[in-house]
Amino acid sequence: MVKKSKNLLIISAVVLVVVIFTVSLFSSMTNDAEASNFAMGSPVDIKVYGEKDGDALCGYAIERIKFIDNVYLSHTISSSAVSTLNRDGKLTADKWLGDYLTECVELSAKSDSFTLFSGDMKDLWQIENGGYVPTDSEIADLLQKLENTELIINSNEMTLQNGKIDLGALGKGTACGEAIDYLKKQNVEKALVTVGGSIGAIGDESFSIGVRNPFGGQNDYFAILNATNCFVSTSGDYEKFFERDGIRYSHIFDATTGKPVQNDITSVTVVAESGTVSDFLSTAIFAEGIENGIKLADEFGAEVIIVKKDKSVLVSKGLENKLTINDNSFSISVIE
Amino acid sequence: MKKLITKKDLILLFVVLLAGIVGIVFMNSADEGKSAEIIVDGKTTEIISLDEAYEKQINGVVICCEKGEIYIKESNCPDKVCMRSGRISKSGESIICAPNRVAVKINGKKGNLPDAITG
Repeated sequence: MVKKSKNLLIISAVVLVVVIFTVSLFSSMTNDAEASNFAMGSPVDIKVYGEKDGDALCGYAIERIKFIDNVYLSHTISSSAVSTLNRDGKLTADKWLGDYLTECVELSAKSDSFTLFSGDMKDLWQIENGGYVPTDSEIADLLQKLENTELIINSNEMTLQNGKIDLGALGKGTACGEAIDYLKKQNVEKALVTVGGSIGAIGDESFSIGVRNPFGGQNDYFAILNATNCFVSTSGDYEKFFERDGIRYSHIFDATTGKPVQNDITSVTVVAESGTVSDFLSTAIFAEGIENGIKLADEFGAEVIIVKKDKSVLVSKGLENKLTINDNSFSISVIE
Repeated sequence: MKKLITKKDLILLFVVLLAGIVGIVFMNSADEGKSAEIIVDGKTTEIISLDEAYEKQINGVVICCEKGEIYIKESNCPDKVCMRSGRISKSGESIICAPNRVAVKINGKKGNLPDAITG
């Protein structure tokens, strides 16, 4: 009898060990990894699903984003390409930067209200420093200067005349794209990358992407967009802004007026095939206004969600069935 | 000759297995929505309980917890996005102060929340 219960104990123990081992093996095989950090003055979040070395992949994807920021796009790090170009007026670019700046110049040419040279406007309006409303003559001087600002690309030699380049309006989308490219090269099948307001998604099944409620906080969304294998970017006037005499001045500028955009829009979300394009379009459409903005989106085959200050929302036909509203104070209409 | 495994053995085996599975499920679901991580520069520096009052300044951001809700009381950042984010209490919700590189995130399964928010 004693011997028998000992047997039983051993069998039980073995079975238990096998069960725990199997469960832990199973959970390590379907490891969903996530890493968060900061880059480009924005929160960065990487989710990699169902990979054995998900944590490492998340880490490397964040490093790729930091690399793009530190080496190329940052306007706060003095050794970056953008800082060098702004300081010295010239720069010898590598292949990546040459191609990228060429793309930026081409995109910028699609919209009069969008500019790559918003550096001087941001400085004059002191958007990141409490805010200042310039005089009419200061704005006239600024517009005069902007007219003469030019980035000349001669194979890999860049020359910047008369101004400051600022890639804040599309850099986060670009970084998203670079992280997604890296993960694809590592054969990752399902991943979600967030850099500030830009998101890149790859995978067979749709992700649920909350569209920020412009009148709420960081966690508030008024609709859920189901999307995958695309990039989603949002520009809004609700994060970086200052108010004077009841007027809100946001960080989104209209290059034709030299002033922060004043129109009936509070946020623009764009779904596109490239991160750089989705981020560019969200800013450019905001600045162009509804009518021209929708034409611009069509030119790129991109889809939009435009939220107006009166809580009415315009949605591209292609997104109609992918969008679920969870806040009924917003009224939706489809763009025909 | 006696049987190597009797019916009683099987019952015991079953009970042990069940206890193991219940234990694993319990371990995975414990603490849901009850704690929050404070993340500085991408690294978790502290885990706080939502059941206890908390107030501490970290990197220029005053993080507060009261009545199961977390909010940012003060911040020296220029945009104050973190302070305007209000109070959070659901698993998966977070408040981020990008200029100060500080985040607070409530632990646990995210339930009905979306995979990400664009904005």
